[in-house]
Formats: sequence, C-alpha cells, structure tokens
Amino acid sequence: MEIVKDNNFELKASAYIIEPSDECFPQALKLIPDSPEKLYVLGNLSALQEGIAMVGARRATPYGISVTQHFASLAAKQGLVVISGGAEGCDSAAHRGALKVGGKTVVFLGGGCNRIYPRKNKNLFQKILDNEGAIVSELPWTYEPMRHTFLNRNRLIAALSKATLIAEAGLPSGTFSTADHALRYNKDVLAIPGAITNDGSLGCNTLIYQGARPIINDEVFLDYLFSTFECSNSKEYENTVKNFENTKHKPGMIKNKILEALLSQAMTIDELYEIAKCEARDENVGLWLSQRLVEAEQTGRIAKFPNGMYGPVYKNNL
Amino acid sequence: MQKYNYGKYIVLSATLRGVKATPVEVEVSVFKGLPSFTIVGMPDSSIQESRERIYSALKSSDYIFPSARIVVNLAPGHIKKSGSGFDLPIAVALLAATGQIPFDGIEKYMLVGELSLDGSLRSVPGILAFALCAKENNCDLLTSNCFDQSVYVEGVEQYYANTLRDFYLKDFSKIKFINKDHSETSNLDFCDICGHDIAKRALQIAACGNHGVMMVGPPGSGKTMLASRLPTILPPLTKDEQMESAVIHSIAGEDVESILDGIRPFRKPHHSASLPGLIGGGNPTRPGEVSLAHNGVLYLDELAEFSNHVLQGVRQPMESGDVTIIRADGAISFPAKFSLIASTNPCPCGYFGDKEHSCKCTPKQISVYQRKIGGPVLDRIDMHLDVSRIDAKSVLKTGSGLSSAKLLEGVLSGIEFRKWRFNTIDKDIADSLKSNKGYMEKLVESCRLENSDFEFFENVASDSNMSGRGIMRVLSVARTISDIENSEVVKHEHLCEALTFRMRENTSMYLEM
Repeated sequence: MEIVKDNNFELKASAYIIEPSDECFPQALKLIPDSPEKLYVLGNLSALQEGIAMVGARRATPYGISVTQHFASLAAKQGLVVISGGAEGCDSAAHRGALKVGGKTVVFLGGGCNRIYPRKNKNLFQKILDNEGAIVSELPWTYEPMRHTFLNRNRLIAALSKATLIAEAGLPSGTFSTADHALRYNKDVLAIPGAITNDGSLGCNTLIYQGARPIINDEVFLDYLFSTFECSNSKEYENTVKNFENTKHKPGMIKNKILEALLSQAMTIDELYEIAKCEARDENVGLWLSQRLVEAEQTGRIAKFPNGMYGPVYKNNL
Repeated sequence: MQKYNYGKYIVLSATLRGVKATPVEVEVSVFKGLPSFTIVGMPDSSIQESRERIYSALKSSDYIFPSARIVVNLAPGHIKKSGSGFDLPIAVALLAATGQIPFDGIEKYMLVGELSLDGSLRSVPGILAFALCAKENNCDLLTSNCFDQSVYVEGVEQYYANTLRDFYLKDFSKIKFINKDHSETSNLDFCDICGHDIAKRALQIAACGNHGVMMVGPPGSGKTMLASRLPTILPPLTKDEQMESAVIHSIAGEDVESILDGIRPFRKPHHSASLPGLIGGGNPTRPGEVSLAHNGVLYLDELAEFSNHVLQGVRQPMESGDVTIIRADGAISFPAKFSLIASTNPCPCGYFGDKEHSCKCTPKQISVYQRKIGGPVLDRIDMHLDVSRIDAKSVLKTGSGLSSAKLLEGVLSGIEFRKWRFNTIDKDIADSLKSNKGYMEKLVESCRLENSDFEFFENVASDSNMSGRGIMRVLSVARTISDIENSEVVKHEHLCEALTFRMRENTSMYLEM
C-alpha cells in the first residue's frame, strides 16, 4: 500500500494506491478472474466493502432519476454502501440518494481519479469524499477516460457489489454491460420496471423478462436487502416498512383522471387536453384540466419534465 | 443675367431628436467676399452634403447661385443636427436672402424637405414628428408631396411643394389626407391552426393582460404560426396610442397606415439582429425594434439563437417601458412598452420531448441550451407554454379550431372588465400601476383570494420553491384570467390555470441529467 502524500489533486482527500496483496484490498475484487492489478483510491478505504450497485442511463427521465435516488436512500439507510459510476443521470442520482441520508457511497471512475469526468460532478464527488465515501479507479491518477475504459470499469462496479440494481435503461444501453458482468460473477441483478410505453424503461423491462428480479416497491426492495445483506438494523427496517405501509397508495383510490393518466406514462399538455375534452363534459376544458393538473402535482407523484411533458416521479419521503 | 442682392434671412425648420422634432432656425447670410458656402451649428455630414444638392437644385430651377460668401447658421448651436431635411430650408432662406423670391409668406411655415439635383422635393422620414412640432410652434408645415407618409394632425395645416420653382409664386397646395378604405384586413386567423387550444388560450390571456409569453416546442409545432396570429386578437389602439406609435414608425421611415387603422404593431426581428437594431441607435439615432413594437408585440423567434448581449439589452426596456440611448451629446429616449412573445426549441436539435423524432443531443448540450434561454430575460416573462407537434392528419382539419373572433371577444370583455374594476373597486391599484409603488401589495389585494385558496396557493408556492417574482407573476396572470371571466374574485380554478403557465423552478433536480 502506498500513501500518496502532498498530492495536489483537484478533489481534497487522502490518496492511496493499493494492491491485491494489501489487507485493505477488497476481498470481492480479488475473487474475480480479471482482478485489477492496482487500485487508485481517494477517500475512505473502509468504504470499499461489499454493497449494492445502482446504475442506469445517463439520459434518464425524471422518473428514473427519482426512483434511483429513492432506492439509494433506502439502501443507505440500512447501512449499505451504494456503488455506482459517477456518471450523469441515474448514477449521480444514486450517489445523491445515499448522501441525502448520510450514507457512504463509492464511485468507480472510467478514467483516473484526478481526471474528473463528468466535470460538473466535481462538487458531488467532493461531497462524497467528505461523507467518508471513496472514489476509485484502476487507472493511474490522470489517465484519460475512454470508451473502453468505461466498459472495463463496469466490471468493478458489478464485482464489488452483492447485487446490481438497474434503475432505468433504454435499448441498447451501456448499462447492460454492468448487468452482464454481474451475471458473469454470479451476482443478483435487480431491475425497476417501467411503463411499456416508455422507451426509457425498455431495457429494464427486458431484463425482468430475462429473469432479473423486479423491484416493484419499497417492501420488496427491503425484503431483498434483508435476506441478502442480513441487515443488522432490523428496527430501522421495521420502521421503514411501517412508514411505507402508511403512505402506500391504495389502488383504485385515485379520483383524479389526470393523475391516473399521468401515472401510467408521461404526456404532453396537448395530449392531456384531449383527455380533458372527453372528461370535462360541460365545464370549460382548460379550467377543468388545470385544476386537476395542479392537484396532481401537489401529490408529489407528478412533475413537469425538462422536456416539457408531465409524467410520473417517485416521491422520496426519506 | 439675373441679379441678386446681398442680405440675410431666417426660416424655421426642425431636426429629429428621439421621438420628437426640435425646432431649428436656419439663418442664411450672403455678403460680399470670396465665394464660399459654409454651414455652421453642429451639422452632420448629410447636412454638409446638402451644399452640392442645393447648388445643383438652384441651377436647374433657373435661380442663381450667388457667387458670394454664404454662411448658414443652424440655431440653437448646441444641438447636433442631422438629416437631409435641411436642404429645403437652407435653399429657401438663401433665395429669400438674395431677393430671388419674395420675402412674405414664408415665415408662417416650418420647412422640411430634401432636394434632388433637378430641384424637385423629396420626402424625409419623421414627417409626423415634424407636424407635431409645427403644431407646438403654431406654424404650418411645408414639405414635399408625400401622401403616403403624411398623417392628419389636428390644429396644423400641412402643405406641399413639388419643386423649388413653386416658391417663386408661393402657390402651395394642402396635403390631402385620403381616408383609404382598409377593408382588406389581414387574412390570418387562429382558426387556421387546429388543436393547440391551450396555446390559443394562453395567447388570449397574454393579449388581455399584456403578459409576456414563452413558447417552447420542437420545429414544426406551430410556434411561429401561433405568434403571427396574435395581432388578430389584440385590442385596437386608442387614439393616443396611435399617435405615439405612428410617430416612432414615421421616424423610422416605416409604414404608418396600419397603425392609424388601430392595428397594434407586431415586430419580429430576425435572430441575427444587432443591439442597436433591437434597442435603437445609429447616427442619426433610429428607434430600434423594441420601440417600433411600442404598444404592440415584440416577437423573438428562436430566442436561444439571439446573441446574449442583445437579449440583455431587451431587459431594461421590458422593465422601464422605455429605452434610453446615451450619447456623448446627451441621452435620447424612445418609448418601448411592448409585450414580449418568445419562442424556442427545447434543445439544439429541437426534438427533445418529441414523440416521434428522438433527440440527438447530449444531456450536457441540453442543459447548456436550456440555461441559455433560462437567463434573466426569461425571468421577466409571465407565461410559459409547451407546444407540441400535432400529427399530420389533424393538421389538414384547418378551419375547425378556435377562431380569432371568438378569442378577441374574451380579450375585449376582459379589458372592459378591468377598466371597470380600475374605475370602481380597484382605484388604488390603477394608481400604483402608474407610479410603480406598492404594486405588489395592491395586486394581492385586488385578487381577493378566499382563505382556503390563499392557503392552497401558499402550499403550492412553497412546494415548488417559487420565488417572490414567480408568485407575483402567477397572481397577475390569475387576475387577468378572472378579468376575462368577468369575476371580481380570483377563484380557485383561475389560480390553477395560472399555475399551469408558470415557469418551473423546481425542475433543477431533474435538470441534473
């Protein structure tokens, strides 16, 4: 093990270079056939423990981002380390979710650790380090990230975690390579289903069809975590489940037609207007629609997406 | 050979400064000495050039150009003068000073006009401003024969001359103001656009309350079509507004006819517009697009393509309602009270959020683009609107949509109701609107929200992290909606509708894509 002293890296943290012969080298990474020769680590070495990986598309929908963040918070609350790739979209959401509840999280970068990519995540990375997380790469500090290095990096994410949760992926998707690695290493693959009308969820739904474990709500996710990681924090677990029971939306209880329609898929305002035309009967269609739309947004389950559509998001109560 | 005398004569003319013409005395003195022709009194180069035009015009009109020392003084001397309109007054003063035309009968005119080399008169921009100036100075206006540019102004007689020769007999005719029949109105109508009922409703609200509108949508979604039909639902200009707008158009040399018909100006500068082009400038100072859109609509298509500093220039006039151009010789101010309609694509390729085309931009490109259009200008736009493409089948069903006449009905009734409100129950808000003081409190007051609605609005505002400005924007749009519905109270549904047009301030999380 080599401690890199007086480093003037962009991210402020202690830096280490570790090898498989070192005691602190994560066991899980030694066991894989294509084990890395060295790991360049920023931050807390003890964060490199078996955790849960959460990855997904970079160009995620708000739905994908909000569910990733939600499940990352949930996992981190059980004391698990959330492992991801630090990319835009779902990856960043996973890290943010863990940070939100003060959890540890590990970033595997596709380039060197002093070659921050994507640039705009610099603040996020620093926050991860400040929260006893780690930023890891098998490439030297300033190594330029390239297409193939990202694909190699994916295997480390899969290897260090006991399970890999695919939050949102279209088709074709680079996220699939992480899932492939996870299967190769005999790890579980979890996937969050989406509407079949949503192109962004095509990949996840395909994975489920092929046998991935669908995560359909908090309860299922927590059950899985409990059985796989034997979460010691059983009291927390009970509380979360109870809390969840209380806030659970009971099917058939929705009176708002617009909310109902939007929960199934994202729609433009003009499409909503067409629905409103059929439903509003004698009332002014515009006023009828806007009332229900504002009401739907107030539930927190609907949001306006950056592309102008309205669509479902997952409310993060944690 | 004809004779000429030495002497001196003064005629009245005027120069443009901003939207007003300032009277200028043109003093010509001809005396013995080495032949020369000097113009003093801060003339610009177009006035210096007038010497050649005057020389040639005099020659070809069978007058004599005196071979003597000629000094022209433009008083008052501290104002910069510009424009070719001084050709005529200088020539006439020169002729009168040398006794080639009789003195009498000239002093009652204000002379403005350009000379051509053969002695005929040409028109200059800003005739309306000169007419107003003549009215202030209790004299008549004498210009070239420019029926198309002249506007009837009460209390001032407007005459014309065809050539310099007419001044010998001083037989000038009055300009005839023909009341042209403008039955051929614009053939645009909102019913050309099928669907887009929400967008039409938004434009109706905007037309009624002078709200700015931002339309975001993929190419071919009909943003430009919608915006170009906005003038069809704008209320007609009042008499005062007509004059204000017509003066600006007259100075810029633009057609004033449609304005005198009460049609509000609709300006759509191309996105390559320069800063002086948009806010005014140049020498002589010309009003920019924001001023030409005064009392009307300024439509900025492809907002994101405008260069940033140009857009920053639009900000100040949006707030203050006028634009001031500072020059070394003083500040010139043009009125610029317009409603801003802007449209843009959601991303560089344009198809972000489109159902059929997939967007090819990277998340970074999208966020850079959206941040660019999300700048400070956007902060001053009340209503935000997403326009999506409609499928080809329904495009062909034109003529079936909401028509302009129907929308205009709502606009007019809203304006009527607001007028009534300002005159009776909301007198103080009308005052604060004028003085810009305490407007916010008064606006909240005038909404007369019920307690439950107030609470509801507070909740929404805090849930979606609305800024103070955002809250006021929603309220003012809601107030306009209830005006259209002729309701003294802003009801729950009005508030909801206004909320759907607000700018999202809580999407930052999702923008981190």
